[in-house]
Amino acid sequence: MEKHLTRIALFAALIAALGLLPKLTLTSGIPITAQSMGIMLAGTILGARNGALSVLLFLFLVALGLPLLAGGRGGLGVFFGPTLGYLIGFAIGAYVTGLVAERFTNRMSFVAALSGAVVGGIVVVTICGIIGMAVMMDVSLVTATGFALPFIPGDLIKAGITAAITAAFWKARPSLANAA
Amino acid sequence: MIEAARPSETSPVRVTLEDVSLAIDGRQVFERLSLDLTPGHVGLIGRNGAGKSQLLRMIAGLVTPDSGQVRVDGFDPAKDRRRATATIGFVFQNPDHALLFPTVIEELSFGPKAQGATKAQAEQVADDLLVRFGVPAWRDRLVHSLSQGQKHLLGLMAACTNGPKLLILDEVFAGLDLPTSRSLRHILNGLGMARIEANHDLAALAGCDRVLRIAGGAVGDDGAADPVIARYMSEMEALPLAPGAL
Amino acid sequence: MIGALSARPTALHRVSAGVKLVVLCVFCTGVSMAGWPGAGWVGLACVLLGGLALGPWFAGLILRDLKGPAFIAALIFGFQWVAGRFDLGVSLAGTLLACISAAMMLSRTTSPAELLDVIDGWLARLRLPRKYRQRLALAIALTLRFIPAISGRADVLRLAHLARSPKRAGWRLVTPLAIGTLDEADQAADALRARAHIE
Repeated sequence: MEKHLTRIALFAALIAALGLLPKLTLTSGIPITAQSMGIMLAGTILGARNGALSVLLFLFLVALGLPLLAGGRGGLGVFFGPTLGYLIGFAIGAYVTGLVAERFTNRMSFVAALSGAVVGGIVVVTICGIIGMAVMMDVSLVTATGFALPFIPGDLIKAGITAAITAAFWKARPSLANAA
Repeated sequence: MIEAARPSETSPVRVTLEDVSLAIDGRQVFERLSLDLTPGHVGLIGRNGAGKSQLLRMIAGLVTPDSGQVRVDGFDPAKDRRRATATIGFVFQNPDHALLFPTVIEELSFGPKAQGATKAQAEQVADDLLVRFGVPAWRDRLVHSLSQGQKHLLGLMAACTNGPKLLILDEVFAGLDLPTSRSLRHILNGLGMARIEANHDLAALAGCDRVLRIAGGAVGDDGAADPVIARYMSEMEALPLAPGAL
Repeated sequence: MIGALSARPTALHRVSAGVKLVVLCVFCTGVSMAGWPGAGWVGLACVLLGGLALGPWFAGLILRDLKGPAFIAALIFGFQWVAGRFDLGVSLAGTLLACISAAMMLSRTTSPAELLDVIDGWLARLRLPRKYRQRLALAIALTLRFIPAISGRADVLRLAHLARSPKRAGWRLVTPLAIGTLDEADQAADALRARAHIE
């Protein structure tokens, strides 16, 4: 029990701390925030249930008014914007990321983590984001999809990095792969 | 009702281990170890990896042995957690890992609250403790903002919130400058609680009424502090100084 | 736990967090359900006038909070206008800004701890068992305790990398940071177990 609780809480803290890191700029010049990578990592490292709970905890703290979203945003206001779908998608996405990765024999291998991150961290998050924009902005799903597409290439890079980190993590702490 | 955070000095606490075996990650740490302790102040010495930490964790009920029995005052500390957390205080080596809350008052009221006290009762226990340790001004400070020595003291105070009969100390106060560690030691001695303490700083154990040396998963030496420590010292000084000795 | 809370007190700081939350819900629902395109803008004007009544500096604070959302509102309006739905654009942009400004007014005048107490009280009334509420409070406290510790470690790692490599650390830091976080979590679990019996 204690272990689940502290892992959920400290990964929420990690997601917050990643938002405080300066934006990482890849060699290609695409800036990425490390925070959304934290969401994928929560799914691949903690597994579906704990990963999703840790993202929910993080969002709850943001809602309480703590400025933990990348760029120092926080407060109830962020839940009224068109990005609401993305915020909800983060929690569902972390869950699906873990779920997909757990289908593999080793849930923390590069391939498992990559599949999880792409399906959960990109497809699910983007679908939630699109629905959110369509509802909040009163546009068609096709139009909203148009808004979401430019973020996909950056997301793919993040998924790749997440998979590499997860695989390195598994090498450092092999027992974790069984104990999700 | 929550006991005030004071040590009970009446009945001494008795710790027994019977045929205890423990393996961690496939490595056999203890095999059929038996012990009977009635601290006072009991010291544990031994090299890194000898199993001192695991022994302390078993006594506190943080680790469950694979076989055999651990009893503190007759109860199993790994099973009866509510009683264990009320009877035993554990002070960890590194307060950065052991302090769990953003503010000092939350840190100190957590233990009593978890034992069933209301918020007001728990904060009263915490306030009493702050006064007793002479640091009432810390009440609303952020744990993160304390100095390393202050964090060590807060770790000790956190272990005392439930008024334990027994304090377990695992390599405490390591890496602090001399005045800081001496002050902390002075405070600790003033508490008058039964103690079991592992320490590489042998001077800290000189006042123990019993010292056990742990080696190879067994008690290698056992008796009054001075002779046991002296034998250990001379043996350690005879070891060759080479990477193989690390 | 300070968060967005403004350190300079206003009259609204003294209103109970529960009341403010309920008013916020009613306000946002009302503004979004109103069938008239100008409703959002009237709502926004009310919030800003309210802010002005609390002090011009406070209204300025809320206006600064609206900078980012204003950009998004403009985008939404422009997009809907081009699509020939001028009224809808006006309505959506107004609603967005009204709701965000009202929410920020709550966040700026309410401490997160007080908000948490209110939510905990509501959860208790909804018969959520005590042990789940305890876990939630504990998890929040743990997260807040370890955010500075983890970002502090990111700095240490960056220096350690800098001391041994001419390249910039970049995302390479995230691997040791994540491993360190997990190890720290497991050590904290030990400490937690030593201190209290968690159901």
